[in-house]
Order: sequence, then C-alpha cells, then structure tokens
Amino acid sequence: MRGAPSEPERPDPLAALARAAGRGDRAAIRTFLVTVGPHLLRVARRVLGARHPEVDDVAQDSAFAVMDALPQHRGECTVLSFVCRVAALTAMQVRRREAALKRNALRDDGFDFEQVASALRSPDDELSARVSAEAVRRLLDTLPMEQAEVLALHCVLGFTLPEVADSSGAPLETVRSRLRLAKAALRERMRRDPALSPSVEESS
Amino acid sequence: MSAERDEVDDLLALAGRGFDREAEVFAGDEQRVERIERAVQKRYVARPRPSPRRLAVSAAGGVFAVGVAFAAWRGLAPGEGARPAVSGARDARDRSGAGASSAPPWVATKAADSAPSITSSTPSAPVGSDVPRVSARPSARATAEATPPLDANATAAALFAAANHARVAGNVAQAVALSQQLLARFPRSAEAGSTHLSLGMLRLQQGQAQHALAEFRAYEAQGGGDAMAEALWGKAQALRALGRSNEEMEALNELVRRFPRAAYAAAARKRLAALP
Repeated sequence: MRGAPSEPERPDPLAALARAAGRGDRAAIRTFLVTVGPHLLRVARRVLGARHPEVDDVAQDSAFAVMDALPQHRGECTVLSFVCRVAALTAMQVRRREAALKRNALRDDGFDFEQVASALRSPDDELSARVSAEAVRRLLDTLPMEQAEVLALHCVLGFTLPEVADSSGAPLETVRSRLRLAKAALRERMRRDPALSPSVEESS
Repeated sequence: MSAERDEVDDLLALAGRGFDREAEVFAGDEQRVERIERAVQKRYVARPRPSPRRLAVSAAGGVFAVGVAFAAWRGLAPGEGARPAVSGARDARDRSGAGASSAPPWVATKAADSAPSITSSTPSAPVGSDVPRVSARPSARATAEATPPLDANATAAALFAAANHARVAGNVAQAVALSQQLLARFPRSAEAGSTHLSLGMLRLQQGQAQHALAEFRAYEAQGGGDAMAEALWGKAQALRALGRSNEEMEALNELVRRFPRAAYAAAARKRLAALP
C-alpha cells in the first residue's frame, strides 16, 4: 500500500499532539507541523504533480485548513489520514480551479493523448508511470467531487477502502460504489481515447 | 468487461508507480516545512504580551544603544562604536539569506513512518545527488532566539520541540542533553524513535561515533520507517569514523538494496565505489 498512514488497531500516536496543537499550544503546533509537513508536501505533489508551481502554496493552505479543522476531528480516523485527506481535497480544489480556467480559455484540456500512447508503449517504465499518473490526475479534475475524492485517496494516496470510509465519514459500501463509478468513468475515457490504454500496442 | 476492468486496473497500477516516484523528497523540503510552520504560527498563535520586566530590559537596551551611538558619533568611544556595525552586518547577511537556511527540526514519529525522510542531514541535498551532510545548519531566526526554558514536568512533545529548537539554533550540547532527557523520561513516546535518529546525528557532529552508532542501532531496533535510509547512512558514517570498513560496507549495501531511490543511495554507491 502506498503511504497508507493509518493502523486502526494501534492508538493514534499523533492524537494528543493534534489536540494540543488544536488548542493553540505553540510547541505542539511546531512539533505537529514538522511531523505532518512532509506529508502535506507529499500529498500536494501526488495530486498536483511534483513539478507543479503551486505545490508549496497548496501545502501551506492545507496546513491552514488542517489547523482550522483540527477541533472538528473526533478520532474517526487517524490524525495522519485526516491530514492527508484535507491536503488531498485542498490540492484537488486547486486542480479543478485551474482546469475550469483552462476550459474557459481554450475549450480544451490541452492533454496530448498521443503523447500518452507513445509513453505507455515506451520501454521506459518511469515515463509510462509518470504519464499514467498525469492521466489519472486529469480524470480527477472531471469527476464528481465525491468520486474524485475516493479515487484520490485510494489510488493516489494509497488508502485502503476502510481508511477512505473512516476519513471521509461515508459508509464503506458508498465508498466502494463511488470507486466503481470512478473506474467506470476512467474506462469510458479509455474507450474514447484508446491511447490511454496501457495495452494499446498489443491490441493494435 | 473483465478485460476492460483489467485495463483500468493496469492503468491505475502504473499510475500508482508514477505517484510513488513523485512523492520523493526534494531539495529544500526542510525549508518548505519550516516556512509552513512559521506561517501557521503567525496565523494561529498570538504573540505573548511582553512582561513588564522584559519591557524594562528592552527599554534599558534601547537607552544603552542610543548612548553608544551618540558616543560613537561624538568620537568618544571608538571601541564601542564598532559594535553596532558588526551587528548590522550580521543583520544584513541574515536578511540576504546567506546562512539563513535551515534545518528545521527533523521529525518522523512512528505514526509518520511513511513520511519522506526530511532530515536534519539533508537540508539542501538534491535527491540522489552528492553526499548528504550530517551537520545541521542553524537558521538565522533560530539562532536569534534562545531555547525556551523547560520545567520538570515538560511533556515529550515539549522536550522534543525544545531539543529541535536547540539543534536548529546550533546549540548541539543543549540539544543532546534535551534529547537524552526525552529518551530517559519517555522511552516509549512517539517522539523517542525520531529522537534516537536526531541524537545519532548530533553525536556524529560531536565526533562521538560510538555513541552515534548506538543511537542509530536503537532507531533500527524500534522498527525504523522511511527514515531508515537516513539511519543506515548515519550508521555507515559512524562505522567509517570508527574505522570498521567491513561493517560500513554492509550498512551501505543494505541502504542501497533497501532504499535504491533514497537521497542517500547515490552517496552510498559513491562511497562503496571508493571503498577497497
């Protein structure tokens, strides 16, 4: 599992620190942010892309959002899952805002599917992985928010489905259903743009 | 249908590898976290009102500074006149950012085991680039502030923060003392694992390789995490200092094998190539 942060069986080691940080304790805020800061950056990079110019700003906005939301955290999920979810939603909002601006300006998302096709056929595994990641990010911009959230937490951040359910407060079955819908949307996108298929070379 | 489902899953799996690779540590991440922390403190923590005593001390300092400046202007105190100039140069250097860098506290608690290793020893080392440093550079801000005093009932978090504060300020001895206090009083706390690692790095800075080695081994014994790469690098550094090159080689090989993409792997490969 990629970077899955929670282990429900164990007590959450960040819980006390988060409570103290939520109360405004200066030392606790420092320790808390230095602990979760790398995760904020990691999530921002995963959702936006590592070289996105707004990674730093999104990580900072996520930190503000986490601080605002800490008093509402009731321990339904681990603090780290909570932090990652807040960061993922913050980053997704930025992507969506950008996507909307691009759509208004160009009536086109500017994504070169031919480039995807050649990258997926490339023997360079790293390139294929990077381009696939970008394709999934593009999909996140277009999905309904609930589906995008599930896809981002599960496929981008590596949460298990129960972790997604715990952190988003949705029933597990709902989460499964949202993921199914998100995958169906991706399947439909692949049908329209065969270039997205990893096996495009074999099938052609 | 199932073939389609496989294709979607294949794409997601491939994308997952892409996401993993983009989640690596970048040069300057420590500074980024430091900036975030500063911004949050500014927004969420009200500055404490200065106490009357502090105000009195500041006022006295102001009066003294005015007196010194006046004396320098009159040419009556040439020796003292130089002082503001030196201090001004330091301020200018701090403002320009030279030496304002820093190593904010390194942290990765047990809960944060999946964290990228943002460490005191890699304040600006690019991923996979040259040898990561094992020294923590003091930041201008941190150097200007004294480590706040702690009472006997300080929590693990407070001790951890104070130790980091001292380390960032360049006060290695105090950072070591606070870290030891934390480990003695809260050996099972979330902060203890991280403290073993940062204490190991501090011991290396002090040239106490044997103590450093013990701390890195203690970190390993606690299960490590993503910061294991740093612990292995530190262990190799300590073994190198002790002249135990076979064990150093083992530690470096383990680092390269287990963390081929870590910031330390390139440095480890380079060192391995140099070893006989």
